[in-house]
Amino acid sequence: MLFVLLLLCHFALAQEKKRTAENPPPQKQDAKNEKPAAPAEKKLEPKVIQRKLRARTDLTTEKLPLQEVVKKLSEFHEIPIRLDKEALKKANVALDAPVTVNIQNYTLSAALKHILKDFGLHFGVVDGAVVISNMPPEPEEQAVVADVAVVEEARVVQQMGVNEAQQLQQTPQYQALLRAELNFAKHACQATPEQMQALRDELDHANKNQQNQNQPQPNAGARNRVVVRRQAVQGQAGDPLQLARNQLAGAVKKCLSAEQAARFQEELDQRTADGRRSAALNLVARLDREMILSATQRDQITESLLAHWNDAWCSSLQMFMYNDQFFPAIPDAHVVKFLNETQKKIWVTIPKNQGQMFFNGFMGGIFGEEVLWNEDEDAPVKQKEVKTEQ
Amino acid sequence: MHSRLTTMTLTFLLLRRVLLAIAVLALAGGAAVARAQDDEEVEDIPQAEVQQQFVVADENFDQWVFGGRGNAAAIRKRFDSQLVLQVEELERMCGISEVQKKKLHLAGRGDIKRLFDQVEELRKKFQLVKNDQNKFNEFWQDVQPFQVVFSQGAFGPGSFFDKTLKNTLSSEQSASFQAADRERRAFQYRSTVEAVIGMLDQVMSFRADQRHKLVDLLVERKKLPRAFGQYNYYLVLYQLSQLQEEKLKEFLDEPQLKAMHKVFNQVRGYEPFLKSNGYLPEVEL
Repeated sequence: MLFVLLLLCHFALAQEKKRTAENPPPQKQDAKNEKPAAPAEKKLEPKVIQRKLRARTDLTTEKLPLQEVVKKLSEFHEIPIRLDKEALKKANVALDAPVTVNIQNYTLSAALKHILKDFGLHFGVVDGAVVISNMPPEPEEQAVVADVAVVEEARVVQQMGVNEAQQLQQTPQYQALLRAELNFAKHACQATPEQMQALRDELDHANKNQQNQNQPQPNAGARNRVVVRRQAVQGQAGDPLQLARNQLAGAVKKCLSAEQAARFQEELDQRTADGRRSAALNLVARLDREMILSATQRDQITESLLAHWNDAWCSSLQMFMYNDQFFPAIPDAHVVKFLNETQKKIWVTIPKNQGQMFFNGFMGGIFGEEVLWNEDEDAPVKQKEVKTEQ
Repeated sequence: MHSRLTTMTLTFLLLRRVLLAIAVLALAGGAAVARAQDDEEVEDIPQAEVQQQFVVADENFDQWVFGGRGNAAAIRKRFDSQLVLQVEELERMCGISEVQKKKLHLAGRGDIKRLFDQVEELRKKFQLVKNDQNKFNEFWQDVQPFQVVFSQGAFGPGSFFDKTLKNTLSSEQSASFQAADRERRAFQYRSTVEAVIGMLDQVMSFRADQRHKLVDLLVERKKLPRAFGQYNYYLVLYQLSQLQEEKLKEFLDEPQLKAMHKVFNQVRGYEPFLKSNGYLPEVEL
């Protein structure tokens, strides 16, 4: 069902994009003799600014001066954005500092943050306009910007189809994943029973801290949800598997010797390498089915993909299982030079997917909520012993 | 127990397609729903009118039959290119003559024509049932074989191309072709095996040597699916459940084995589905 939800969201997003492309925002119809105010000179209501900061932005620039980039964004979104020249001087940032970005489907707020972070600059809302300076916004303004960020993330989550119920359902699965990972650490690091207990204690401690941090605070409910969901969107800590692995990696560093931690890291690196190889092989297998590659071509393309591998190409191996048309937006340069003319014609017709999917449970949940791993070889026995002693 | 699991599995696999259909239907009806929510007053709608609201948009047909590969014209063009590539490949591997090439092109074009003629027949049927919920269910049964064909390709077993290939090639050419075909199938199979073990690793937390041994165990069996398509991943899971327990015990931990048994108990139920879709029985590499 999650697959369908994701599909729906992906499709809906595509439709929204299409609609936007077909119906660009209407130009302002000002009176004939009235010179329209330049966007940078206008003043807008805070609510209007918030709305505009949430609008979607695509921007590609190659060494374009910063002030030109700001002007572009200001004109496109019809929002006053000013550069505080004095503040820029203090920050040693020239107005024509070159900006090279390629952002797709960012909100204006996220786009600004992305562009400004490299210069150590910030933006805030001052007197009906967005002002870029070297100072973080005042708390009041920050609230406006933060609210915008909250809505941004919530929107992204909506697109990903992750909801509260699913987050809650992850709990037993998460425990099972953690048990499996503990077993992995035990054997990979040849940890002693005492070290394993230390790892468990450290994980318990980390979990409790996490729970405390997630306790609802006044006026912070939305932000808490956003934190959890942002992680899910990134496929990082919100993904129970990644969360379990990250937590364990932290605990291993704290509780085991440097040599054991190095062995653990070696295993993790091998796991990453195997995952990439597997994804590359499956991509080439897809191309092979479409283009009847020769054995040499299969090898060449596999090698090329691995040499230039980008994890964003395949966030999950389940993509292959659930979407037999999945093929990511791999740059032509890594593939086309190995193809013949007929194959090149097919290459251009293969739809390249941009979206990411978030899968819940083993192989996308085909085993429902069943917890596959109930065993923790040492822990239950030890708990029983403690109870008996008491 | 097994029959229940089989039913569940089949239900899952088939429902996946049906849910996709429902998703598209839901999207098709989305505008109407949004409008109703925007209106403050909701009128009572007569029952007869409600029943007439079952409408499936024409564009859904291509999505279901071709599975997101594009429209009929685009796929036909792609099949044409694939036919050219197939024959070029045979020429490289077996040195086929001009007469053989012509025969194969003719057979391949025949396959493409026959397939798209059948698609057009199905499209006509769709036009008749798209507003009739009861008949639509029957139509849906007819869609599924097309999904399999478009997933597995136009020139597979049973096609004119395949038959012509068998009748046209000399024994020497045939041996060369089969060697290259085996190599291709072995590559396809290995990629699937590595993906399945990678996915399994997400709940079993294998160590590198365990992952590699599992891949080797499956690959060394040299038993491939009879057909290659989107359910290869399920086939490999099924094959995994057929491995000898003793071999697994040699390198898996006790807790891992217990968790694996839970997976095996379920995937053994895939057998009838895999048979009916042509993935089983396996073929020797």
